[in-house]
Amino acid sequence: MHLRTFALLMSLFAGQAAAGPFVEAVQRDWLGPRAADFVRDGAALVPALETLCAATPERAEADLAQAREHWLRALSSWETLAGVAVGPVLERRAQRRIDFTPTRPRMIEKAIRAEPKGPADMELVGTPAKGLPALEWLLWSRPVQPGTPGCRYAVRVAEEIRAEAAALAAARPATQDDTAFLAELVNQWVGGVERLRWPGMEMPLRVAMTSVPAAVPDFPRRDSHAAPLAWSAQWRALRGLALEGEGSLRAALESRGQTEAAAALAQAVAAADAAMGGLTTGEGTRILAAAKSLAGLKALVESRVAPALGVNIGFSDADGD
Amino acid sequence: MPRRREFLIGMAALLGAPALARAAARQGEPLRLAAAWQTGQAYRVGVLEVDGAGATRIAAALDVPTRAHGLLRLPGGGLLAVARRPGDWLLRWGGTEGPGKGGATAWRWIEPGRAFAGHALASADGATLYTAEIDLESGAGLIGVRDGATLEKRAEWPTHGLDPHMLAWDELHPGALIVANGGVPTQPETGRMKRDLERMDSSLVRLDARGGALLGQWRLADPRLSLRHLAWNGARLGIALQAEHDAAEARHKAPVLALFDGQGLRTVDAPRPLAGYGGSIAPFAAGFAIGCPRARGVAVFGAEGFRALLGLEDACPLASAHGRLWAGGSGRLMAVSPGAGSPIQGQVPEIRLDNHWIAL
Repeated sequence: MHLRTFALLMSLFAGQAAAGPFVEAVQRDWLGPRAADFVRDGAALVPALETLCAATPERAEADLAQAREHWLRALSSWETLAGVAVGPVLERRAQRRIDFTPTRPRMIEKAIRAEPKGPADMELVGTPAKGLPALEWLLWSRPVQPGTPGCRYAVRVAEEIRAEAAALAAARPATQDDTAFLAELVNQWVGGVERLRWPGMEMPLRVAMTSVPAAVPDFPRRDSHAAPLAWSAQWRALRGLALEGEGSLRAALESRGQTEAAAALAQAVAAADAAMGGLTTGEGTRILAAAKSLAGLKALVESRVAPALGVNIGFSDADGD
Repeated sequence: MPRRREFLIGMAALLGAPALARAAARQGEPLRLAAAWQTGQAYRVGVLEVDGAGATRIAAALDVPTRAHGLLRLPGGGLLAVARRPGDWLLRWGGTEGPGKGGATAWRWIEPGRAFAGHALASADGATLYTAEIDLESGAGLIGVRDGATLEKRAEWPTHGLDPHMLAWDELHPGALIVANGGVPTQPETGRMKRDLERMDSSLVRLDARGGALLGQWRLADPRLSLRHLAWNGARLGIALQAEHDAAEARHKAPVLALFDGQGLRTVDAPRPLAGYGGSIAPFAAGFAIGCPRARGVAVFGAEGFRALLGLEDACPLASAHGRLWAGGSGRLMAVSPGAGSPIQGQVPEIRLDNHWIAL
């Protein structure tokens, strides 16, 4: 008996259909490695914060800087994993669990006063007081001091992030069917590019431009000044799942003989890649140009790629209301 | 092959331009319609003018950052446009002369943790604005109560449902609001993508406009019909429906109109499929007209039930003005008289109209 047939029979006996080759490719080439990166960087947050909490006054500043550095690494690997929220990220509602915005400082302060001791106590704390945004507030806006309840609370928040990362890495997409998973991927890819373009980049600029008096754009990850890092990580996810490997939109198009659509996708991704390169928050004109390029890419995926793949876009502007 | 009725409508369109001009330019005033549309990749809100020669032109237009949905003529004369759900912005455009005729523009951006759901309603004096909103943390529907001048939020009331969409003053219960909870579960991380439809829970609620207290709540028997757009005709409220059944055939055959008489809700069946999607609704004669883009026409219902589907490609926006119903479609406009006679048609610029337009 061939190994593949044996594996299929085993999975059937276990009550589970075998994953389709596309699901398998996305899991192997993208979700698995990205989740592993996030496990590594999410786990490193906990000892970094424990070190800060135990620091002497002389070490406090350096250990705070170290904890911030670990937060930035965790953010980058998280944004790369969640930039296109498919599979376990979507099914576990991980964005809501560990990246809910806006964070609520009053809820954080209340949670600190409650001094949660472990996961059971943390269950009682609302999501706006937890996750990466809460930790950003605790590290930049109101930097926690060694030996304080605030610092211990930061450790609890980091432990939850570590646990979520582990759960994401252990899980597999609930959908084993290639057609259903491809539909989810295309829809969430469109959602991801829109999340990057509008709330991530263009909307903060537009809000600032229409404010009286004029205001500074309030980009995401403001306290840590990590908006460019987040943009870059999200774009890495979008670009990767568009073009790289067997679990990409391009591969799906080519396998269906849609070579022209695949070439158009590659061209639009290359244009957006050039526009996104090295963006910083001070470059309003470049940000708007990049947002326009992303809008063009989104329109292409909605109008050419999705139909070529036989996918209905529920996220799209073409849907009813 | 087009049905005979649709063929006749097409013939009327060829002959109808002078009649359209007369209808639009009643009392020497061109018809002005505020609308939202897409052209290329740009989203716009603007004013379309049907002039005395029967031509429709874009009289004014303003770029908006994302697709607009609900439009509201404010008591002070300006226009309020609301971003499509899940939306971020409100735009007030124009002063006492109306949009496109001078006056400032004012933007209001949604508060953190909230999203606009597509429609708004003003008090008669314009001092208060009510906006349909979503709590992004819980998914619950909210009415944002806003200052009519600054658009700043003064209060929030629960809509006692998910996915609130359109709201209207209650003609049967002065001082109350009627809100359509579309009931489609959505999540911030999946935007407009519909998930967990087995949890769908659409309802119509009556809220006290003084403090938001729940005065009544009604549901249809079929939980997969989403109550979304509202229009009164006398003492009857018509509600345009959006079907969300899993099976395409069930969606295709689903009703597009529900009626509320103050006591209960019921659907109105049609003898032909209307593709389960009513994108807008307006009072018409003794009944209602519903824009049905997926059925390629305007469904007309009289007091006794379904009367006809008037063919118009991508038909959706509807407005009553100058004694007629004005429907917009793909590159075309249709004016229908409640009395006898065929609809008359004209051209509109090559733009992709959104669900709604309103007569100014």
